[in-house]
Amino acid sequence: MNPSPDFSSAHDCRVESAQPHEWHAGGVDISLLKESLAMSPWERMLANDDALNFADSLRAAMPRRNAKP
Amino acid sequence: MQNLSELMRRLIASQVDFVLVGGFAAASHGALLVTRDVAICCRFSEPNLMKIQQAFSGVNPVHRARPDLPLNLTPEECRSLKNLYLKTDLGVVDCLGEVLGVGDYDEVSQHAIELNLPVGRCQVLDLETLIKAKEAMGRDHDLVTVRHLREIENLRSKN
Repeated sequence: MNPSPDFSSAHDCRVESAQPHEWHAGGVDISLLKESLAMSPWERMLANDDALNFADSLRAAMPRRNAKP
Repeated sequence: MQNLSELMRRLIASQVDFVLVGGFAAASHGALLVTRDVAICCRFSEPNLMKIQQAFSGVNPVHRARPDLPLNLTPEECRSLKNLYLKTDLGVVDCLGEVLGVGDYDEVSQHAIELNLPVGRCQVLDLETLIKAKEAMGRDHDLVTVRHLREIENLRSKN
């Protein structure tokens, strides 16, 4: 019988990479909000464009993935 | 390809009298929500509407409700318009004659702050008034935006 695989190192990795999150009761991620406020208004507008285009590219990719060959 | 920032640059370069309102204004204040359109409150005078038309020349502006109808404003149209909902190659622009919960362009501009952007100076609805406007709109996504804006208000008051 093979020994069970040891996932302990992967688990440790996951724990180490977990960043502390500062959540508000309203569901707003305060740490992300602080990152946003550290940017200039123009940088925030460009970030909106980037996020929008990324979301659109994902949306466009989904029908291609689901298309029958 | 959406390019709302380029739409902003064009409005500024064409010297349109406008105040940025809505989701893109919320994003400029720091809200984390992504918006698909640029909403502006502007003076619905013929010269200002013609500047809007000029701002979007070359990016195929059409009326959103009638995409077969290119933007080709006449003086008669300018006199009758209250809002102008446009779609361009760069994205959607909503031009509003007034903002719910705030008022018309003259009222809105009294609650605007000036941002000095790399593409020029731009008037944006201030945080407090944007919250008021979003609350007046009252749709689900407006109320989520309000939560973000209130947290931004809290964070700013602590700094």
